[in-house]
Amino acid sequence: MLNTLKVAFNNIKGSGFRNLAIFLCVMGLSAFLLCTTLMIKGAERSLNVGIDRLGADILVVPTGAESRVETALLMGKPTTVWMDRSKMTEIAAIPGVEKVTPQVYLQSLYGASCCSVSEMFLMVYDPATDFVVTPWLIKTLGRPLQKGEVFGGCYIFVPPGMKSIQLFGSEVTLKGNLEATGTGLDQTMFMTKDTALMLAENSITSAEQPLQIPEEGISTVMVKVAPEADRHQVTLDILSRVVGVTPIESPNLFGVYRNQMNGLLWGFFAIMIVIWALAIFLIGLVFSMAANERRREIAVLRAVGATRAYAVKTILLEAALIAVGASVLGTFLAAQGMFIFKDMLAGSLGMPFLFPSWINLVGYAAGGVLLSLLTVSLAAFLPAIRITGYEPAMAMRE
Amino acid sequence: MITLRQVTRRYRLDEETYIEPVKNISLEIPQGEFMIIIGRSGSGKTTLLNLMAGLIKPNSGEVLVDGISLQGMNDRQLSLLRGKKMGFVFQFPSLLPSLNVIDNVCFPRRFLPRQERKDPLEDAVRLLEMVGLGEKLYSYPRQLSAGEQKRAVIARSLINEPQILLTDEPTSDLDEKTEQEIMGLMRDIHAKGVSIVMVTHNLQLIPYAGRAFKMEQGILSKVSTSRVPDAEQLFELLPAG
Repeated sequence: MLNTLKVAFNNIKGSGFRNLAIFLCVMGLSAFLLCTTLMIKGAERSLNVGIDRLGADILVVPTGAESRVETALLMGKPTTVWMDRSKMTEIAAIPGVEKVTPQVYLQSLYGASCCSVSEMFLMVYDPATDFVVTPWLIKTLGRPLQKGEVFGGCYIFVPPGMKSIQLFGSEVTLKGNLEATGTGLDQTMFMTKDTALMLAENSITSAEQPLQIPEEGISTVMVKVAPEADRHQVTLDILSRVVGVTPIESPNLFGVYRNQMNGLLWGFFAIMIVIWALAIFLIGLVFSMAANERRREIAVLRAVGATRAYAVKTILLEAALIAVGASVLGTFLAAQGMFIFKDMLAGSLGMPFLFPSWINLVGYAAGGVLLSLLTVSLAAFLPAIRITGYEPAMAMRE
Repeated sequence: MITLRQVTRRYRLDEETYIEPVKNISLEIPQGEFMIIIGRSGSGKTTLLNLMAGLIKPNSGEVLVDGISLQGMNDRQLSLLRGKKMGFVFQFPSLLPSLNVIDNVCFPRRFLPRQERKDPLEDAVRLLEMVGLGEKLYSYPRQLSAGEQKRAVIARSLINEPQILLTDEPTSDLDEKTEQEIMGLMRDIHAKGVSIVMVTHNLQLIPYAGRAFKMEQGILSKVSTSRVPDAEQLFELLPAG
């Protein structure tokens, strides 16, 4: 038996060009919506995973180096900043501080034959006190790193045809990679203090430029606050008692980037709302024109026994089919595109990005489809009500 | 049976002006009648037909089908009445363009109550064969001639076995041979007990009817059906200009 769905499909096919225009419009909107959502959520997720991965409650950096350190951690842009190791001792003495560990930031040479990777961010930790890197290593590698071994972010790999990575003329062994964070940690190489000192020592004879590590120099201090202590109070105490350093509470880390990113994303969001409102208006206009063209057809439908509700339902069903088809295709293409070009996009926008989990992606896509469905149904509803409101005989008059 | 009691319908043209294509008409159409209403274009005959079908409401008076007033019915009841008891043949091409012929003919069946909604395919094929379109079941309206479309519409109008067929200029724009075929079909349908109300400006069709009326300026008056109108009568009834 002929059903309403088949009638709706046939009607859609029957007005191919007009419906194709609506289809493409909804597809574009859905794709844009998903892309914007993925950018917002991907950036958020990336920042949160990055902060979690740092594993410290407070990051202490030399005053004035805050933004360079944040850029290094967030975007993997290498930096070298220094402060005296004595600062760590002062910080450790502050009430509420449970653990402290130093980190040293280095970078490989640019375009030098003694380094397989150019301008790589190198993060050096002290295994004796470390509570940041070691837990990942134990979880992933099952043991701490030995001298001459390194661990990499997800984008670190041994160059093709080689068994190890060359840094400052020495060979180091890549023992594994971390899961993606979407931040600069993905492009960072982690090593122990012993390995770094070995590289520095060998670089004098083997590298194009020697690697210099000041004997008492460290780049940052990672602080773990005691469970009973107030993190914010500890931060204020560090700020007031230790000269020449700036403590950053982990939730406030990347604050500048968050603000920049929020500005950018709100811009996207505003554009999306404007485009969406415009789309509702235009789609409504197209449906209104379509409904006018079909006024007589709807009247005939009612003359042969269809109720007004059935006529409205048919028009809305057509709209819904277009909306669902277009938004499913739009979100699918957008998800594919984002997945393929995510690195290029994140790089060009200067923001971290971590692709969402598949469950979240399906959730966002379903939300997008639902929103498209509501939008198109809303746009079709008023013309449908108007056109079926005529007395059938009046609607038949041209 | 359709009954019209002092039915008037007017259309407002602007704030102060209106026209009255149907003026205070009372009429009874018993079951099984073949009735023709003739009149010039704009005389109100289509409006009268639409009033009988409940496709338009009267400004005053009452239309009853089998003793039940259409004015007291809601949209659902009115739609059901049209779907079950009435068939329509409109003056303009009225097949749904997105459906093929067989689907167009089957379509009104879905508006019957679920318990009466048997598979329409067999009936549709039979009706299409009856109107000579047995070879064009899966053609689309755009692939049919005007006469074939009209015949398909007649088949559609009969799918729910209506008591009354309301036809508006069913032979307009058709050649003489097709006109005779269509009228032959009408006669066959009437012979099966279906009432037919036909509005037309073609006076040659009057002899097919049991009763004929002339509509002029909203007023209905009876005319003879005993013979084809003579030249004087034709001149009087032909459209002005």
